[in-house]
Amino acid sequence: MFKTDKYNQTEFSAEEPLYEKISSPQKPAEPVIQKIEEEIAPVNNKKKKIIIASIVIFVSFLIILSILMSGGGGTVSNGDAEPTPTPEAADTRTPMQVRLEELKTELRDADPNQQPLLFPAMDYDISLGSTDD
Amino acid sequence: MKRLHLFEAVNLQINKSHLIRSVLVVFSLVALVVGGVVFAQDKASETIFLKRFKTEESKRLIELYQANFEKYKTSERDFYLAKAQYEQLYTLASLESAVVSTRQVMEDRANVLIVYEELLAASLVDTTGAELSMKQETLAKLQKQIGELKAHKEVIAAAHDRAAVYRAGIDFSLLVPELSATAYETLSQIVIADIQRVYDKTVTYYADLKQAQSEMETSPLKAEERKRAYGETDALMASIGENLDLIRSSITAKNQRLDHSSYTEIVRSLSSSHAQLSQAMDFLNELERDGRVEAQ
Repeated sequence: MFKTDKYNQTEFSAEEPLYEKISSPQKPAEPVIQKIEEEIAPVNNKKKKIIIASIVIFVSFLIILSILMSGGGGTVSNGDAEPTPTPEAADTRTPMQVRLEELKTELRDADPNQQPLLFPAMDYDISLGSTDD
Repeated sequence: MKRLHLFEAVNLQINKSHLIRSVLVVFSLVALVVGGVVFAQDKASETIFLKRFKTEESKRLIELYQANFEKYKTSERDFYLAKAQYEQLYTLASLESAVVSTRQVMEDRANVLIVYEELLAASLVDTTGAELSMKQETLAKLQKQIGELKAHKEVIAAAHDRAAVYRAGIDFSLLVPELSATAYETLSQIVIADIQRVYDKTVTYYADLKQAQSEMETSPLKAEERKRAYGETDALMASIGENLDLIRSSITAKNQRLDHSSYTEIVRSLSSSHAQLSQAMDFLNELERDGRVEAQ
């Protein structure tokens, strides 16, 4: 019964390298992949750098914008509104210049297109209908 | 062949990174512009409110007006929903809900209008430069209408069924044209007075400037040049004065009610005077600078 077994495991072990050789043509792909990975790696790094740079620029723009806006609106938010000139500026301006600048500010505030009290936009025909409907 | 595919993959990766970079840049720019515009608009509208409403009373009223308007918007939405539900279901329960929400929205609308009229009255009182008799007449109208709106609120509170709410709605619709006309009449007076006040101050300033410059010694050539400049400025100031007279007479002479379109027309004419006045101030700026340089 044992003789009928024609498969010799020792032989098979000896032939193992041959099988390996058959499958070995796939191995040369490894350096190509490595090469591609090496090519992709700088691109990825570059991408990261660009993202970080974009975020930094964006945040810087926002900070600058908010500083500018708060600086521009700060003097106005007091309501009574005339921007108080610095002592140096007051020294260099004549009374006539000051008066003219005040007039210009007053004119800007008097822009008729900036009237905020327009008649409220509401539904003036609200009705459920009469019982006759 | 495989190599070709891999290089295509690399190209794809590079294109992808370009795409991400472009999207980031575009997103940043759009966010920056939109954020800036919204922020500037908020600031601008806040500025307008603060400039217009200087007294404590008017500041309190504008805050109350905004709060009431928001409340109205909520109840208006609830009303539309309840009405749609009633029209779909046609049940007693949905009718009850619709009647309740109709009463609520009508009450909130009246509250908005009451505070609005109070705010108009406060703004007109604060406005200097408006014609006194017209101002008093308009203030009396506003007070009368505030009384009518309060009475309307009491009618709504007493209306418990659909028919009564319907009648309250009909009565209110008769009030609206008068409310709107008085509002635009008040607004017209305020915007005209604002420009008129600046014009009057500019006339005074110009006279003072002329007086100061007449006392300065100057060469005949310079005097001739200044005379021509005065001529141009005089003509411009006279034109602004005439336009303002015309605009003012257009609201005093009108027997018909003012509405949104006639108010828009007044604002359009005033914008032209506003631009002329700005031009006049540029002229005055030049004259003042020339005088200053000459004096040095």
